[in-house]
Amino acid sequence: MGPKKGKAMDKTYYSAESLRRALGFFEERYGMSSSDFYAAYVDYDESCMAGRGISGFHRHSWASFYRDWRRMSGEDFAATVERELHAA
Amino acid sequence: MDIWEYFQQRDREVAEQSAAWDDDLGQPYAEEQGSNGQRGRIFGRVVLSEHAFLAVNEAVEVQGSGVTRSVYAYYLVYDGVELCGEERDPTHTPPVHRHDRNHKRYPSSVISFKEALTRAWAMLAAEEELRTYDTQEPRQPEES
Repeated sequence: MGPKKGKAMDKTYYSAESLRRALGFFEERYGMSSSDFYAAYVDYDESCMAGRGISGFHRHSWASFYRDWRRMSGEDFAATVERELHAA
Repeated sequence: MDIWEYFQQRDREVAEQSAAWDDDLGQPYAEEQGSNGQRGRIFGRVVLSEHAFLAVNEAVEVQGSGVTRSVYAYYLVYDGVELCGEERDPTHTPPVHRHDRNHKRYPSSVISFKEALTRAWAMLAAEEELRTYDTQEPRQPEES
């Protein structure tokens, strides 16, 4: 059961590092990298999802953790720099 | 408002509907490090019965007195099977949608956590009634 009404909650935190560990649990369970999974998720690749038995809730959670991890770790920024370098 | 006030509110909503977070999974609430109490996540299971729970994933941002759930998923799971799910995900079309037990997607409206929990209870009651009916012995015709 969660904290009782009126009782102060114990504060917990997450970081890019802890999200990375969470992504690792998904990757281990479903046998694919988070980047491959996310590409399939965004493309509605149902055969990839259903074929691996990834539940709807896990799909949603994995994708949202991955997006947050990219934002918090600066991966999105790094990808922008990489694209600029390739375009130059 | 900060994220912890929002979490406290969520906790009250769970308790008010005679449900509880799954203790075995640990604390469902977490603040994003470095966000100064403005961003956080809820991830866990609200136990509804021996057989059912509501799986919850939310990414939340507080701005002033307002709260935005940029992402949410509420899935009713019965004996390991997802009976239905409500989602908001900006990468999908439409972003707000519902899934049935075959994970087929339908457009939906934004739903509050409280409403999702209320619907989950109703659906659970219907599912359990259906299962009870299915397991009953066929009634024999009465002798005249």
